Amino acid sequence: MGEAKTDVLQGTLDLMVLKTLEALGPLHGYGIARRIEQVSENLLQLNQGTLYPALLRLQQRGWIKSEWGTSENNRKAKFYQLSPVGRRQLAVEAKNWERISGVMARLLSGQEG
Amino acid sequence: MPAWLRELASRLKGSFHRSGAEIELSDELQAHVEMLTEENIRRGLDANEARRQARLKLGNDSQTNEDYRRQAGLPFIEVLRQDLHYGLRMLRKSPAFTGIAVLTLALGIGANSAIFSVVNGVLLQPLPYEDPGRLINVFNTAPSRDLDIFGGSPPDFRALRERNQSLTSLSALSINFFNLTGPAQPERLRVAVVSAEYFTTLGVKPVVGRAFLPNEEQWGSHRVVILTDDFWRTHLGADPNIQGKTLTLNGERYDVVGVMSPSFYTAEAPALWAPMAFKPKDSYDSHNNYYLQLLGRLKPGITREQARLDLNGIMTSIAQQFPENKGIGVGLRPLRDQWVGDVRLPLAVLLCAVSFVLLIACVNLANLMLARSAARQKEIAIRSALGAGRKRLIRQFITESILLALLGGALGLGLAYLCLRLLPLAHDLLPRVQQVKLDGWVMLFTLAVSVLTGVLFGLLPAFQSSRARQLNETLKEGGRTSDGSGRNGVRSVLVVAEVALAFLLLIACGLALKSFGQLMRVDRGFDSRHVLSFMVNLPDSYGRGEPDPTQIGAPPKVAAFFQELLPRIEQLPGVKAAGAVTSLPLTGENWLKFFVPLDRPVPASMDKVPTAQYRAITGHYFEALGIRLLKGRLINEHDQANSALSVVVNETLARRFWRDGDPLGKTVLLTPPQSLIPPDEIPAGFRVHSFTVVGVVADAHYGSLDQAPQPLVYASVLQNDYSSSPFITVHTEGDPMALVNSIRSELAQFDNSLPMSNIALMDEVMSQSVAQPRLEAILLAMFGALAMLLASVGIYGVMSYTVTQRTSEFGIRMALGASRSTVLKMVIARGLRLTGIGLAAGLTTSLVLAFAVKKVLARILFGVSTTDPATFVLVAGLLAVVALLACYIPARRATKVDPMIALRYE
Repeated sequence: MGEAKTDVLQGTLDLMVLKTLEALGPLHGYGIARRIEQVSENLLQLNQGTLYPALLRLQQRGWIKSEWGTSENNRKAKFYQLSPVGRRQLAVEAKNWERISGVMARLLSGQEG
Repeated sequence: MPAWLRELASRLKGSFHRSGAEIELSDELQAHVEMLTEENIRRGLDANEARRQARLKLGNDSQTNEDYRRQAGLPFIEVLRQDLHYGLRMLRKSPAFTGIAVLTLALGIGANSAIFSVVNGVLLQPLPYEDPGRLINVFNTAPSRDLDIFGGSPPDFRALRERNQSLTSLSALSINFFNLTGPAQPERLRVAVVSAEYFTTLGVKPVVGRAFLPNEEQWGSHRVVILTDDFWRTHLGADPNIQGKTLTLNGERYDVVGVMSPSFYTAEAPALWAPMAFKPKDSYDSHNNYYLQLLGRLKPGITREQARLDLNGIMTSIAQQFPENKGIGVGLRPLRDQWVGDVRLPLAVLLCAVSFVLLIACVNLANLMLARSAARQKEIAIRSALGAGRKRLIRQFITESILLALLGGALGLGLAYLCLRLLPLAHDLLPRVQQVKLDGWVMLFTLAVSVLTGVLFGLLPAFQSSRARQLNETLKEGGRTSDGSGRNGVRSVLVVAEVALAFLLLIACGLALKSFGQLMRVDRGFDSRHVLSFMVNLPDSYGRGEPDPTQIGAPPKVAAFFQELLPRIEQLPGVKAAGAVTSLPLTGENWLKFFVPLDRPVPASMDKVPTAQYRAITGHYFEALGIRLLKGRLINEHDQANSALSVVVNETLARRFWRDGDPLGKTVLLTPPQSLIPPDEIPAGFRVHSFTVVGVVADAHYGSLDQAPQPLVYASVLQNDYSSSPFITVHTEGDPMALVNSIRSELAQFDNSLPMSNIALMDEVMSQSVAQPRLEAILLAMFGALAMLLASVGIYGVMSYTVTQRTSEFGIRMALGASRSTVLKMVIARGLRLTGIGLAAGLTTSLVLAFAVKKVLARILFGVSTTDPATFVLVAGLLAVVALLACYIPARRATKVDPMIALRYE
């Protein structure tokens, strides 16, 4: 039943992950989750487990790559980074978002004239 | 590559390849928890609380795993794999059920595949020529003279070929027989005599040598032949150097100029092709000889209708110049129709019949599945309680049934292949039989039918078994006593449907059988027992050389052939009579001549001149075939060139022309009256001869048995037109085949370059002429029997199951005083009631159908109407008896129930 909700969230989650990786470089799952929470000022309290299927999907689409490495605490962790295709996709998605949010903003501000 | 496609590919791979992805995930999650825990500790929580919060934040582990797995593969395939695995296991667990089901399906689907292969090869596949859609057959038609379709005449053909605007090319073809002599035994060859551009019209080229040249239609340049691949291999040893090779045909040298490819095939199936050429003043090359088959290719963008108008315009202008063409026009049909038009309807009927058999099998299987799912009800209920949704359960059932159907289909395909191996036996009946094979289309068809069948018979049980109310009840009661009446109701409906379907099929079968029986009962007018017939091909050297219009009847050498050979044959021991005829009964009404009685006003114009079928005979032909003399006398060898010109007519002709009078002694003409023939058409020395009717004989069927005999006039070969390929008929005392060798040596003694061909018993010719209706009747009977078997098994199954379910009820009844016979009657009554409803349903449907398709079916039924009461009553009775038997056995079982045991098991 939660599938419908996830669909909408999927797109935005994808965008957030891609943006995070662009801003911070290669990062592991935990790092990405933390960053998203931070930036959204804890408004987005996502179930962090939902991140992993999303990361898998992004990999399947070829937008991110993964590699095992060591974290700052010398712990073994899987690191993700943007691929060139992913970088391009991010630009496209970002532009789309801006356009849509611009339209929504105008719509919701009750334009007169 | 678009991202979604890459994702799909990745997931596809993931569903078959379970790599170490899941282990990696658990490592990742582990690391994530550790890192979260550390953060929490840093924030001041104690170790345990930190870890607990971390786990909470990460969410449900199993959910994450589940979601991850779903993303990693394609859930659809996952589920399918599970269903298949489960289905296979279930099937393996009940081998008896699986065996019966697969066998039933194999029979039903296999029969469909076999018939479809034939339909595909014969009717659906395009002809094996270039752009076959534009190939057409041009035929002559003269509705005003009651003539539907007949061949063309050579002058008409040449005019059409030259003057048409709508065809890229037009060719003519006729079948002839040449004698091949040489080092080996003389052989009679089937030759297709064609116009020069014949191969171009079809769009094919010889693989060795060349096609015919236009000038080879001229007499003198015409002695060339093109061989089939088969002939080339057997007679020329496949020698690719054909330059200078010759064959001696009819005593003359013919050059071999080309060989066709082994895959080239035409309906005529000749041994070789020769160009069409006529001697100057050859009587065959006249407006009165209609025997050529014309085939042409439409120009691009031209429709058949346009071409027809174009060609008819030419025919009209010909008729203005040559009045004997008045009223003759042309029609066009696709070449494929000419070849296969006749078998379309019978094949359609067979296809319908065989789908009915499959439907009945489906009903049986649905019943079987229902019974089986009743046994599994507990297991299903538990699965449902554990979370399997209704959709999932239904999908599971359908997967099982499709699996069964695919297994049955695969086996059925094998059966169909075996059946098709028998096909060469039918090569006389079925045009294009070479093109019938188990190809990709047939396999696709089988696959589609299998899947459809699986869905069809699986749907009902699937829905039934997954009904929520059903499941509830099962779990509550422990599912022992009689199951929901809902299911019994469904089963009853299925039985009714089965009986109705079987009824329909058996009606079709009964009608076909009766039709065939009627056909065999037709009075053929001759006696085919102990009669041998064979054909002799008299070469050109027997002819006159130059056609002589002053002479009528056979030239001296031909006359000598008959006058010497026939008496010699009659003298052989065991021979009772021998005669000759231009063509045999049951081989076609194929020689039409004008017939003008002179005891009435002369017709006003050419197109009003009546016609009749014509046969030339000599010797004791009528005696040999047992054709009865009704009045007057027969003509025989005593009617010679210098005797009075006499003819004998058949009953139909006598009735047609002299209904209330007496034909004997009347004079007739077998050509148009002199007054109607334009003077410049009459060759020098030609005279119109009149003949006297000297006898009337019984009608013999020269056409097929289901057509009424045409009016026919017999003349002596010595007094009128003869054929250079006459048939000799010999009536013997014992087995005629025993005399073949003696006859052959008599023939050889007369002229050892003449081969004997088409040796056949008249019984065989008889049998051959009804081969198609007979085959159809046999096939339909087989399907009918199969349907009846399936239906009876179905009824038996349902009744048997009902009895088992109601065992306790019967036990109680008998304990309460009901006698065994009462119980017996109860069960039988129920069964008969169902059968009765089924019969009623079947009856109504077949009556409705019979009226709807009356006209269509009337074409293939002979002597029996589509609503023949006797057949209906018989079929209903048969099914009722079968149903009774099917009910009786379980009913007896019901009476054997021991009340005490039944009650104890309650």
